[in-house]
Amino acid sequence: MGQVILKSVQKKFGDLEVIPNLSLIIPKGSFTVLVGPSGCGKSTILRLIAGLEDATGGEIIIDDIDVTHLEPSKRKIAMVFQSYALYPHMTVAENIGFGLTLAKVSKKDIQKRVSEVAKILQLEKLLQRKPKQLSGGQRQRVAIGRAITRNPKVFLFDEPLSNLDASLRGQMRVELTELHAQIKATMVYVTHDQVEAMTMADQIVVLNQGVIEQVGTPMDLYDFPDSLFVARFIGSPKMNIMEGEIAEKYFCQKLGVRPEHMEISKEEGLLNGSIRHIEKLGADTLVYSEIKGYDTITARVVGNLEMKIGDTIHLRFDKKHVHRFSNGNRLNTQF
Amino acid sequence: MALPACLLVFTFLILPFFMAFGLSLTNQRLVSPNPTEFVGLDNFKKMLGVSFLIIEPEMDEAGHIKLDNEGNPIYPRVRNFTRNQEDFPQFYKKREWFQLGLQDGKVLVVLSQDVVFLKALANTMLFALVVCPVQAGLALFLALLINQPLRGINIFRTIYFAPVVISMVVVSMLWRFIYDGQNGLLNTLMQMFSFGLFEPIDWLGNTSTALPAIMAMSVWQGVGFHMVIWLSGLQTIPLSHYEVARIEGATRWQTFRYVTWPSLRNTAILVMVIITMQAFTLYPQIQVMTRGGPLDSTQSLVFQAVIRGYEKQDISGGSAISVILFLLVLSISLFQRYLTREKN
Amino acid sequence: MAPLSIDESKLDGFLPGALGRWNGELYAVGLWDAACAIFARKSVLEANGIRIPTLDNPWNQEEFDAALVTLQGSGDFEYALDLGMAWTGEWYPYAFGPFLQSFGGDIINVETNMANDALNGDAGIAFGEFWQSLFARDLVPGTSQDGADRETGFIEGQYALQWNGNWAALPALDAFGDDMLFLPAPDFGTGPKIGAASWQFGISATSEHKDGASAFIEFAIQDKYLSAFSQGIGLIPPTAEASAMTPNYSAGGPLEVFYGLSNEQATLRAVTPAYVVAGKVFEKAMADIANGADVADTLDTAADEIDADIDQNSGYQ
Ligand SMILES: Nc1ncnc2c1ncn2[C@@H]1O[C@H](COP(=O)(O)OP(=O)(O)OP(=O)(O)O)[C@@H](O)[C@H]1O
Ligand SMILES: [Mg+2]
Repeated sequence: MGQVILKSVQKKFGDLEVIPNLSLIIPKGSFTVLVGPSGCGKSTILRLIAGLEDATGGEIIIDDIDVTHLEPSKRKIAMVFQSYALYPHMTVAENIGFGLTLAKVSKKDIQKRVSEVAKILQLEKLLQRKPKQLSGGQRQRVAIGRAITRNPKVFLFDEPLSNLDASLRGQMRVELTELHAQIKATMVYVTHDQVEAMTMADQIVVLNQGVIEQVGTPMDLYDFPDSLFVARFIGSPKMNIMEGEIAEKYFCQKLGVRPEHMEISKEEGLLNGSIRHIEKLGADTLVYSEIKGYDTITARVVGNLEMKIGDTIHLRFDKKHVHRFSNGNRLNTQF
Repeated sequence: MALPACLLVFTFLILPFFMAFGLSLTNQRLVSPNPTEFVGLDNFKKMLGVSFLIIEPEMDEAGHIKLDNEGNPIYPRVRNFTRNQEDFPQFYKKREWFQLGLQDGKVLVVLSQDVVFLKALANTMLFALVVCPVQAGLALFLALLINQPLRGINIFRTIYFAPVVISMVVVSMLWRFIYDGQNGLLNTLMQMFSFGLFEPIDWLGNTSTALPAIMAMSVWQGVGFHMVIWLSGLQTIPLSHYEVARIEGATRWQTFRYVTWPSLRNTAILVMVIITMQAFTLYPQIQVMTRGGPLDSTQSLVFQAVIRGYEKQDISGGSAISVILFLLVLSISLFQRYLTREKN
Repeated sequence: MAPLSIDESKLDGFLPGALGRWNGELYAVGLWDAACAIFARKSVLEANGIRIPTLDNPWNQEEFDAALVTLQGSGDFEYALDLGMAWTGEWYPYAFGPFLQSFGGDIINVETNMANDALNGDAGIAFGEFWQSLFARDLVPGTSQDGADRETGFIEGQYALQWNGNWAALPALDAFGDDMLFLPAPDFGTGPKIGAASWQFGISATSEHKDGASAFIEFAIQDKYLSAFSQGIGLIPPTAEASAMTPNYSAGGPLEVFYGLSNEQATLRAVTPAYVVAGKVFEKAMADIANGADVADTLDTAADEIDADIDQNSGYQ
């Protein structure tokens, strides 16, 4: 349960067209992540699904029901905000049970449901605290708890982890993925952190200025980016994009090679230059080189590297690992 | 850094208070060649002292209660007990404040030497009691109305705020025309809307309507100021708090009750304290509109303090009223603080 | 204040209201006097068959009352008489105190230095009852009278009669010309009375130059300066000679009658420093009685308050 379909949805703020025309299917039970650069309309799409914004055109369908003109509360969705949006004057228990209180559910039933939810999120000991007595991660869990309580079909998350520090974020990623497995509801998750997108999603939607660039599984997007935009956006460090002589050799305008597919070679080849910067990450090493005729090229080398800044370097790559683009789109034809 | 502020507070707040307190224990006059004498709590006793007198209806020889033309029992005049009466020294020169009917036709008369002060005290309390909740509530209502991202909403904000920037003295003068007993705006409007059925009322000349009329005007004048305070409180509430409520299915009333109102706690305390203090210092309206009349129905503490201290040159009497006012406001503020304390 | 050392001969012919005497000494001299009169229109009185009173033969209480009832009954006016209730402050004791005196009472009995029995004695209560009846019968506008109505009500015909001072006489004359009458105050029993009033020159008791100041005052009260002063501000010159030198107050002048009023009817208000407070108390009592307060109780309270003030000031001795 919890399939969301967007049909030719449009959104304008006054004269500003934020979503020109967007169609998307979010399969039931999926963990769909919306990614894209800042201002591309991710939050807007989420808010359209939630009903916090009215679509200028098109339809939004949740489980075969046209909800385009339904109130947010009638859409069987729940939303978790980046700012948590917890009520400071309510205890954790009251925050979690808020929806049930509004629905005038009996005190006993509220208490029962709140303790169930608290158990899932390990909040049992914190129920009587006020939000300001909680850490960031705990607050985030309370916000999620409030979303779970009414058993929504679709969860909407708007950058829920961006206020947390790196290690807590890693932990919460795992917890959210487990939660998804446990409650099996559809989750739509907005982020501009592509690590979150890659690790949590079973479907990623890449957006650019309100237009979908590509929809697919994380590995689809990584291995077969449909466009130069996706190729650049997915993957870290970014894919190397080269043009000119080397691209012409491959019959395309732009040639992309991921850093891990760049190899350091002993002999002089097509890409020769000097090392500008080295980042040692332990498991592998990133080498940023100034290559004659091209921009900086990044290479990812397994293990340590016995070279230093300023050394001459030669790079090569296997032709089976190249991505070819013309006019911004992927060329799939053979060459 | 804090020195200038402390100095100002000391010279204009603390010093005058202690001076007022000191003066209230003397018989200090504004100008008098006679030396000032210490009189202890005499001023306060005079103002606050009350005594009780029970009077019975007059009987004729046969033991029947005498009735007047309308069939009501006739009572002896209170004046018979309070003036030139050696039998009742405790009532000497006291005057009736109010009466309470007891059983068997007896009447309890509350007497005081300073009825005007007691009426001023009662009026001021009544004024605060009515104006505080009404003004605060109305201001909140307006703030909720105009806290919307509608086009042109600033015009309304300006309109509601406009009376605040006009001096209360000017406002009072204008409202005297509105309340005029014959061709005032209010009477004219009422007559228009009732198709001439409405009998013009002399709003400020009537003991029963004068104080309510002043209350209404005061609420109108001050409501914009408190609306702005409420508005500033409202704007600190994050939009997402309302959005969660929308998603969770809150009705308008539930949104107000669970989200808006609790978030306005501190604002509410501020508004209540300010309104209470303003209400207790009721003065310019009275000075301009009624000067305490008709029949003391609009006397107020500050007005009496000014009348006595300045016009009647009785500095000690005026000071004593100021001291009582101070203690009254202080205790109400403390009580409010107690009621609104953080319960944990 | 210090007594003035001015040659008594220079003060001959001064209106009593322009001299401030206390304890037999002269303390102040005024450059002008003011007088009140009942403003009326000859045509109105004649149309209603009301006798026009004169200085020698003013209205008595019954006549006055009957005149008001008749005028009110004519239906041509909102009120028969405008007393000037809108003019709060000095006006009340100045304009209404003399009525009380004419009844035989007073705000303060100068002999006993007390308000009790003077203000709330039988005469005082009789005055209070009469006063209240004017309002109860809607013959006069009450305390909520609009200030603007006070200024223009008589000229615009809202009020048949008006109790007013000579400073308001010229506009009325402009409006009604020969029809305009300035009638003397009624005689409520002990003779007709009006207030005497002026702002006066006095000398501070601490002045270092008392002689010089006295000399200046002596110089200023020469008739030629008094008449010039009157012409400048329109008030009554305090001597007959000075009056004769002004176009308004000289014989046959439009305001001549006021000089006569001032001379014949003027009664000093209680000459005592207690007057400052007593005036305020009297004002409130008049307003309260007008609004229906119990007459005797109100006058009792007022008298007690004035006496308490006198006591508190050790009798203002
Ligand atoms: N209420 C609004 N009124 C006008 N313009 C808006 C409004 N909300 C969003 N926008 C505009 O719509 C565009 C998309 O906004 P949106 O918040 O959806 O971006 P986003 O992808 O969530 O960005 P971010 O990653 O920074 O949160 C932006 O250009 C923004 O300025
Ligand atoms: Mg966003």
